[in-house]
Amino acid sequence: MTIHNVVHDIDKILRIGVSFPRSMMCDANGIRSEVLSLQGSGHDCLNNQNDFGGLFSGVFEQCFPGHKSLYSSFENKWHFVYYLILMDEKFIEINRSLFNSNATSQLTFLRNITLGIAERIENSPSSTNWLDLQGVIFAIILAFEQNLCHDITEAREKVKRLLGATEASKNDPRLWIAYAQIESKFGSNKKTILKILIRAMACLCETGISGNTNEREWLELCLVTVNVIIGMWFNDSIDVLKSTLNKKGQFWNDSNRDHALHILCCFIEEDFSQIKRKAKPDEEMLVSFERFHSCSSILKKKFVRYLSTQSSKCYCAPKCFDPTPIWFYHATFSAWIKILKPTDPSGSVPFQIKISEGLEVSQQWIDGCNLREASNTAGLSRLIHFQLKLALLKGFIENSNCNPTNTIRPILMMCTPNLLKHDINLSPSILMCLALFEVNSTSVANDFSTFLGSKFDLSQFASMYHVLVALLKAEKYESTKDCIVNGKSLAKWSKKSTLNIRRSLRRALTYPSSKSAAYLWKALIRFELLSGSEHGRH
Amino acid sequence: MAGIETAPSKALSLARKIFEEGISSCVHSKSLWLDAFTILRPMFSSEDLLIQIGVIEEKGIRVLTGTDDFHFT
Repeated sequence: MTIHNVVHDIDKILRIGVSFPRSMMCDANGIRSEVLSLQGSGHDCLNNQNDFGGLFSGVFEQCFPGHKSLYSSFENKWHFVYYLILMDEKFIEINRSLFNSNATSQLTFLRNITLGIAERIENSPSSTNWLDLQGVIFAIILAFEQNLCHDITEAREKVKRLLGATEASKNDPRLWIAYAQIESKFGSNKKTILKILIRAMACLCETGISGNTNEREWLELCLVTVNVIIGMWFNDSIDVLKSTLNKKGQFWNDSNRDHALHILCCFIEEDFSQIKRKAKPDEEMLVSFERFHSCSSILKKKFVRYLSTQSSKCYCAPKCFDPTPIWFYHATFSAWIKILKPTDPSGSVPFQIKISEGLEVSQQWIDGCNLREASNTAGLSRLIHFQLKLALLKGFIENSNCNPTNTIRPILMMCTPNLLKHDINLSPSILMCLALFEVNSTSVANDFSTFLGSKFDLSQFASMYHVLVALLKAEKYESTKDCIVNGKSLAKWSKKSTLNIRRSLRRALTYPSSKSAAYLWKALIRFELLSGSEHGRH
Repeated sequence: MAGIETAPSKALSLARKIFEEGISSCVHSKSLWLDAFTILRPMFSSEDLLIQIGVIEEKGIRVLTGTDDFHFT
């Protein structure tokens, strides 16, 4: 093999993979590859191979019985195959370049191994670590089936068998979500998806949710279900939101609202015996005004508890795959039930979607968030993302032709001080929104200059914030054909703006702790490439 | 990456310098290392990249290698 060939292969394979939803819950975080690639550095969930060695041992013989020559090169290297598929387990980052190649035999090999591993899990005694792995394997199976256009039947059967394999599997909401998502990806209708999710929730009739080891995942499943009912499915992307709202007559009707509210109420009341119930012909709604008020008061108590005890670690309990604390779900439930509030029987005003009230409630939770507790940052980040989603919904509902930038701007101005005051991780969603909406008339430069002239000091955090905004916008430019002029890639930045951005990037890198922030360097590299160095150096 | 691949050589050259500066501070960042293989690819020879892969592996960063050495059905 020549050096050229090696490099060619490496060049092909080493490309940054496209992120894949983390345990299928990642969608709700609004996290995408641009942001993931900033964070991804090859996290290994399988660092301790002893934990999983038994699971993988002999998997080649199992998949290719009697054909040792096929796998002799890999023998005792199961992790090699695993790593070939997966670039980063922390966020389940699939090596997408695999699917861009025409190496069908390689893909088939890898797919067979994946299915073999899935079978091993299916027949294995349960353990927490292995359940985590199940989510990863689900994601991989889905990636293969999606990309290779295999018949859905096999994936469906495989996932069903995994789900029914053990009691632990049946009680793992992530697997149910994954199963529902697989169905949705292959065109199953809303009724089928809801049936799966509600069937999953029915498992809680026996076990309850308080103290359940998967409590947080069940709450996630509840949010996913609400999204599906109102038509947003598994995806929080702007396109899906817009498309949903374009069909608001179809999705945001009173029946859907009532159903979504009923699911939320079951979780708030922790009574799942009624989860499958549908409104009878002789009753108007599943959730009466009284029931709504009862649930509201339960959530208010949770809010009070949140304010007073959120420093307690047991209340937040972050996990490996998804560090979202439980209070985040209580916050979103509080917002949703305000939005979906039933009509007051004494009033004459028909049902209206009350997004503003949801925004206010979420802001109360944000204001009360104790950021001294490190595990709260993930919750805050998601909650801000949730606010953004609500803001978009509000904008789309109030004016279908609204300028998204104008819609997002007020909410950004509300969120940004929160972000700037505290040393927390940035909300990828905010960055994504900026990157999505401000690529044309409101240029990077304008935005950047605005912040430069704002009252905020360019502290380390603030600098990083703006730099990341610039980076994401740069990434956006990168994929926008319009910015290629005469065969050259040129961002539409003025000389002054270019100098400002470069100066700020460099300034950010002067902070001791920023020096090792890879994304800042990446930002600078992209900036130089995109600006074409036409405006000179610092 | 099409847009960036057509970046002027001056920009590429400058970007490479920044990459080298950055990697000396963030030697454990796979994400940054990958820039050499993607958007900065024109600035590195095959030999350069092989040397880089050696360093990456030496630092214990996971590297996905090619599959041509292996035989599949």
